This record gives sequence, C-alpha cells and structure tokens, in this order.
Amino acid sequence: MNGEPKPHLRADRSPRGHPGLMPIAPPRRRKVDCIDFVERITDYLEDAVADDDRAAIDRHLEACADCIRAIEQWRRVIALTGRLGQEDVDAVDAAARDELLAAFRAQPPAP
Amino acid sequence: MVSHAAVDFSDDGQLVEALRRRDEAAFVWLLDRYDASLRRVARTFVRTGASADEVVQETWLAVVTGIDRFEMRSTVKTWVFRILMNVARTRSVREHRNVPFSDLAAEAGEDAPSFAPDRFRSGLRLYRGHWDRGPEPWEEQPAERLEAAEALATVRRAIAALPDRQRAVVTLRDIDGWTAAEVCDLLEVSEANQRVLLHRGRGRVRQALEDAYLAAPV
Repeated sequence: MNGEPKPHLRADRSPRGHPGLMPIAPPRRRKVDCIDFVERITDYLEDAVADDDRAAIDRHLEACADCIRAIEQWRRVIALTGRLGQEDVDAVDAAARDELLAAFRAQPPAP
Repeated sequence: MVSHAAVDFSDDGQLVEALRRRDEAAFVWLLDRYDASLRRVARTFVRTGASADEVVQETWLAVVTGIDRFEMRSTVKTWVFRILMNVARTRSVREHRNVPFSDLAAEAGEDAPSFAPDRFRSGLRLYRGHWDRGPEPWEEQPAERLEAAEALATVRRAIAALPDRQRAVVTLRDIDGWTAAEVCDLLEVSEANQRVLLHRGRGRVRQALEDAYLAAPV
C-alpha cells in the first residue's frame, strides 16, 4: 500500500538463490491474476499470506474493482452467515434437560 | 451452602474436578454453554431436526457417563464435540444413511472453484486469468433487502447443501464463532486445509446469493 516501489529493471532474472544478488535485488513485481486471487480471499482475510504475496495482492487490488468487490462479498457472506447463529438457536427442551440433570444426579461417585 | 449462581467454570481443570464431585452447578454451566451450539452443529451433521435433537441428547448422556474417564488430552469443548461427531456417525451408520459426513472424508465436487472458470478471460496472455464477468453487485442491495428473511434462508439452504467437511467448517467458524485452531483440533485437519474448506464453503454461499439476486433483481 504505502511505499509503493518505483518500477525497477528486472534484476530478479538471476538464477534463484544467487547469493550475491539477493540482498540488493528490488522487490519482485509479481503479477496477481484474478482467477488465482479469488481462491485466496479467505487466506487474505485471515492474514495467512506471506508479506511479499500481500504486497503483490495489494498492488493488484489498487487496480481491480472486481476483486475488491469479491472481497466485499466474502465479508458479506461471513456477516450474513453469522446472523444464523443469532436467529437459529432452538429453545432447549425442558423435558430433555430434566432427563439430563436426573442422569447426572444418578451417576455413582467418581472412583 | 453458599450460592454459586455466578460460578464460572471456564477453567477446564476446575470444571472437570467439579463434574467429578457431581457438582450440579458445573453440569448446568456446561449445558448452558454448549447446548445451543451442539444443536446447531448437530443440525449440520444430521439432516433432520428430530434426529439432531436425539444426537445432542445422546451426546450429553455420554458426557455424563464419560466424565470420569476423560483424560484431559483435549479441551472439554473439543471432547464434547468429538462425542457429538461420533454419536452422529454411529447413528448414520445404524440408520443406513450415507449422507452425514462419513468420517468427514473428502468428497467429489469439493474442489470446485469459487467462480466458474469461464468467468475469467482466456486467450491473450496479458489478460488471461482476469475477470471477464465479474461478481454481480448483489452486496449493494439495501440492507433491509440483503438481511431479509429470504436472504438468510438462501444462506441457510446453501450451507445445508455444502459438502460435509465444508459445512462443518463453515458452521463452526462462521455461525458458531470457533477459532481456526479449535476447528483444526476438532476435525483433525491442518490450518491450510481448514482455510481451503472454509473458503470453498463461503464461495458456494456467495454464489447462492448471487444466483438469488440474478433470479430476482431489484
């Protein structure tokens, strides 16, 4: 988000793991495809993406309204699903509860 | 006797010790804490309401008779919910139904992507994998419509129709508010696996909301 690096020359073309170039290589400007990102929305929301992945995703989101909409829809799904928990609680059956309390009382003492 | 109305048994050690003393307040506390949640989870594992209630009752009776043997190798919560799952599994075998989560094995169709592949562009490399037909703007509907009973019914139906493992994870995480770690512990899946199941489940609910929106736009 902040500190967006200036475009660099692609100095990251060096063989992977080359010891000499690694520390001075600029951040890789990894491309994020929407089709891949949408499968990572939950990872993204749960903070389960590596820092450089997150940076690439955030750059992508600056330019992709549909992916931002997809994230917003995931948030809405989570919120709506959560409402089921508030509405769906069944009344506890008094007879069933009495049976359980009776069973608890009838238990022999612990050894 | 001192009144123990405000006794808090959220410490597992104290709870188990009190249950072994047959302290009824401890059992009532446990019932109050998990009964609704067990019912909700049971409903996602067992498809009919009556049967789900029976599963919960059987679970509680197993807790009563099993507390002295509980070795505290997991939390009480995980232990109680494991019993629930075992009861539901046994019952589904007995009733010759193969629907409820046979060992929560992976199912066919579980890996379907969150958006159909044809909603993304193919062809030119520059655009490949980018949206062709983006998400429909159902979330922009006014709140009174988005949170209406029909929308919640759509969500409920979509969750009921999820593959078993997705349904279990979505129910525990998004309805019951379990942490990722608790779900991993109960279902014995990795964190990454848990997130995939959660994501796919949420994706299907999203699709159901989009379908409902397209079927009856404002």
